[in-house]
Amino acid sequence: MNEFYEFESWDKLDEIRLILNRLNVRYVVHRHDDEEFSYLNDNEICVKIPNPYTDDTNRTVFIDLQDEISLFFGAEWHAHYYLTEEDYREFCETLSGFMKNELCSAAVFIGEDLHWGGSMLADRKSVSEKSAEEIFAGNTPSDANDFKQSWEEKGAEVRFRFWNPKDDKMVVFERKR
Amino acid sequence: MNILYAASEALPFAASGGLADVAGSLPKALVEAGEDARVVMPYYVNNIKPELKEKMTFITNFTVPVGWRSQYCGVFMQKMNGVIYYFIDNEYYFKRDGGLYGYYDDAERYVFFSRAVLEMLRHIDFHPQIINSNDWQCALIPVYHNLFYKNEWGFGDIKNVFTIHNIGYQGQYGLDLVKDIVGIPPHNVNIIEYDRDINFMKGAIEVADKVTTVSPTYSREILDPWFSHGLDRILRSKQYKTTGFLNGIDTDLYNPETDDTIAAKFSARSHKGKQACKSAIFEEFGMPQYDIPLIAMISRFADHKGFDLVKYVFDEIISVDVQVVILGSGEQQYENFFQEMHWRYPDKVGFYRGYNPSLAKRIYAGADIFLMPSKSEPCGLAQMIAARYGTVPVVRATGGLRDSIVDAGDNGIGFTFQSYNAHDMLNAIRRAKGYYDNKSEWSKLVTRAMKADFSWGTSAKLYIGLYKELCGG
Repeated sequence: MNEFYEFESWDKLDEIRLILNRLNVRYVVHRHDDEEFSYLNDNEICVKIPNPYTDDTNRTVFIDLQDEISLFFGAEWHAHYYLTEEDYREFCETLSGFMKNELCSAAVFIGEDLHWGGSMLADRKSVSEKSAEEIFAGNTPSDANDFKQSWEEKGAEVRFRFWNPKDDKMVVFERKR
Repeated sequence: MNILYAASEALPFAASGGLADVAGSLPKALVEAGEDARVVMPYYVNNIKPELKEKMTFITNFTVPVGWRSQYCGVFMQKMNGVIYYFIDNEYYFKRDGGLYGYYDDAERYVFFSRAVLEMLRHIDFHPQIINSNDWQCALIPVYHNLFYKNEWGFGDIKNVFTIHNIGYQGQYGLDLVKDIVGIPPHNVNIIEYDRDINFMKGAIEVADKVTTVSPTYSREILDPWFSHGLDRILRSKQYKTTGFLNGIDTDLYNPETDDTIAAKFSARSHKGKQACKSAIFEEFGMPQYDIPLIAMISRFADHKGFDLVKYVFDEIISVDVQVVILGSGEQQYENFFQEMHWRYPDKVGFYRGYNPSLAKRIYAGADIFLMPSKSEPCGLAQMIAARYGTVPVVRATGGLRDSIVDAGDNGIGFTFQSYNAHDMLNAIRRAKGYYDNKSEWSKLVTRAMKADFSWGTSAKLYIGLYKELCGG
């Protein structure tokens, strides 16, 4: 064990189950012998949480318990956590936040071909009270005006995706001609 | 309906008590009633006969979390009497030289088993709608299901039934086991915590969808501290989901019309062979045969079986003009007592120390009266077997004895007494003797006893009704 490795990721399965049970979320546990999960090694586990609100696979959550814990919210957002109690706590908070619709993924797609320009985690309060530029600016050294300027130059879409799509929000920046 | 019956023992594979009879018979009756009932039990490598082990097939293996450990688990399978049995294999836990239980690590052994049963479900081609767990050894199955599995796909629709066969054994351990063995997080320990200990059975009572006991009367009795061994508080609070169904007996195994182990076969229509069976018993015990009733007792010698009552009035029982044969072993004081009575009344009292299933059957067949004055009796099978062999039961009206034996005065099949009192028991014996002396009345009583339906069919119907109720139809 080193400073990034305080426990085995798969030993946290029962705790993750408890969190999901408490949130009344249904899930599937996959191991390496399951079809499409052969990338997992012997003890590694993937917890798949199909979205009960929609068939959109971009809203399925995957938790990979490997030599780190990875949390995926569809294809637009993911994070990796060291196997430390501090990171694990953060993982749990994020997972719960998604499931309670308090957190969402915020992804920006730029240009006419909407190529992926980055994503981050946003909270419901920010999404409702702040502009998209301010939300992204708060997570980078740039200020909000820089974002607005660059998005307006090329055009952009900012998508805020929640676990329950009823709270989704999309902001479109038209390209300045 | 798919039913998984989880038990720590089942006949014919491994047995230490009544649970094995039930686990060997009820699933069979459920299958005969058209349900897909399967049994899962530990693979006791040294306790299962080689000829039974030979027929087992290995299915799969996986790892099972036990506290901080990950333990190997193999699964074997065998079909017997139409029922599929799964055997949970781990030699560290279940390859022991002695009996089935009584080891320093029993808690860990059955934590492993309980967890393995649930983990097994993702590896076999059987999806139960009901898991019926039995006694403390399986009590953590509903607890783990509720905590860890209920929201997992494939597990969410499973309903848990927990059956109490004997509330005297609850799986009580110190709280220190929680983290090391049980693997339940601290904020959920309340589920299994009881009186500053952990109590597996309490956990099951807390979370199971239904709690059943092995007789309707016992399900009411255990609400009372006299019977509950301390669990009455939790049972009273869960009374709304508690019920009791009387066990049955294997009427093929216990059938005087086909039984080759008895001196002569007989039936409810013709009791002739019973006389030959009675004579054979006297011969076997080296006692002279008089034309008086032969009272039999077949039991473990334990206080709660009512032997203190028998001991208290034994001379008076003999003075009723009866002969007595006793088969059993257990508490030294009773073994010594019956040996002494045999010496004191060599022509009236026969005693066999130990357990001999074949002799037991011959006694059931040859005796006239079967005495069972238990202080408490969750169900009891002996009184049913006795009745099946035309041996009229004299029982204290408690637990399953109350539910299975109606007094002859109410057109029933035996004699009952209410209070746990030696002279009440003696009076019941005197009443039985009075009936015996009227040959025609006695013959009718024997016929009624033999015709009583103690088959599993009735119980199976009740269980199926309960399962269907849980599954919504």
